[in-house]
Amino acid sequence: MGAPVTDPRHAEMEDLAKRITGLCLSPEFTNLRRELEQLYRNSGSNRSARQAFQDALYTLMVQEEIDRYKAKLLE
Amino acid sequence: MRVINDLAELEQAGLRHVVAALGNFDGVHLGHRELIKAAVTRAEQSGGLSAVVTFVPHPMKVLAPEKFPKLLTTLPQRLRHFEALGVDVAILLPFTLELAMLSPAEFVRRILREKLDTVHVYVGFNYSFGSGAKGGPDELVGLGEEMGFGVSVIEPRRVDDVIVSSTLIRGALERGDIDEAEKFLGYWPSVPGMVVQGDRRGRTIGYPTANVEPPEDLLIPARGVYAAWVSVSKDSLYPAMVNIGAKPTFKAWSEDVIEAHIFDFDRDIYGQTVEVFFRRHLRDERKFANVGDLLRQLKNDQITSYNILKNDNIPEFKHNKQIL
Repeated sequence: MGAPVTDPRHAEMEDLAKRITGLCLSPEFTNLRRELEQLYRNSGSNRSARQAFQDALYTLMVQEEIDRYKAKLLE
Repeated sequence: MRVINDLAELEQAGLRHVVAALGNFDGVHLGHRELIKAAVTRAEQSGGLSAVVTFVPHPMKVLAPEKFPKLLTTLPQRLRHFEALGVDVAILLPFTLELAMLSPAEFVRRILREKLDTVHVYVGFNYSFGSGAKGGPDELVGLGEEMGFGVSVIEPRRVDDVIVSSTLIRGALERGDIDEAEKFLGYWPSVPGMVVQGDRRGRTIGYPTANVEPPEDLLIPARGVYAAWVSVSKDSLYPAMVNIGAKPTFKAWSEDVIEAHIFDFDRDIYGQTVEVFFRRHLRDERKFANVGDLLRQLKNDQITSYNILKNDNIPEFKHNKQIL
């Protein structure tokens, strides 16, 4: 048995990992990633898959922030 | 090119053997350019000085401000065009009510004869001058004969059988038809302005924008997204895509804001004056349901912009670079 974890960063990182997992498994992410990858490939990018993954994930994270902000305003 | 800003300075300058091009020259379009070039050529051939004589501000702004149209060019832009056309002196006459009251004959005598040693004058076919704009080209020809200078009236310039005019160009820009505006101007339409702090919306999804505040009197092209070049310092052009849209405002009228996303550019240019050279209208302004849809559209706009701009043969533009 290990020592109990008390560092609050652990909880933050776990929460972030959960959010990213949720986003990456969403159909919205899959669609956006695919479309961007196609677009990047057609425009001659040699790192289309990686760039598309990163841009799709980042975009959905931004969207999540916006949704959270809007929900807060409605509270 | 020398710039003279008032009558006192003009008197002191003691200009001799002047070949003058008279007009407002808003836009310095193909018709204006033909007229100014004719004056420059005549001055060169006769060993005289070529001069553009124009009023500041535009007479209509003083006489009928309610009818005053938005301008196609700022004064510094017009001066830049005059200089590029080879003009020796730009004479900017302050348009006062006193000047507006001069009869056509008085205007010619006091300005063209007494203040300037005019040997020849070039005007457009629709030129008007003197109190109530009563003087026209015919009257100027007569006054020139009386007072000892020649007058050439430049016929309308036609492109595709259409007479080139500032009104026509204004209409094209108001529709976002950059190709048509360029066809009659003879150069890419542009808007200068200072880069001001925006709301930084674009920054969040990797599309930081320079928010360009245009001069109040200048005509801005129709709202929408454009492929464009942005001049940041005098000699450098950067490829960009530009959004012209409504600015959230508390005022009763809605102001337009110009947001330029300059590709591969990360310098801080707040407070600097830049100039946006419009190349093509890509699409109308629209709202997006979510950030993903916005990103898809922006990526497509970026590719389209690159494909348009790469044909412009700008030396700084690297054709073999990654677009996205």
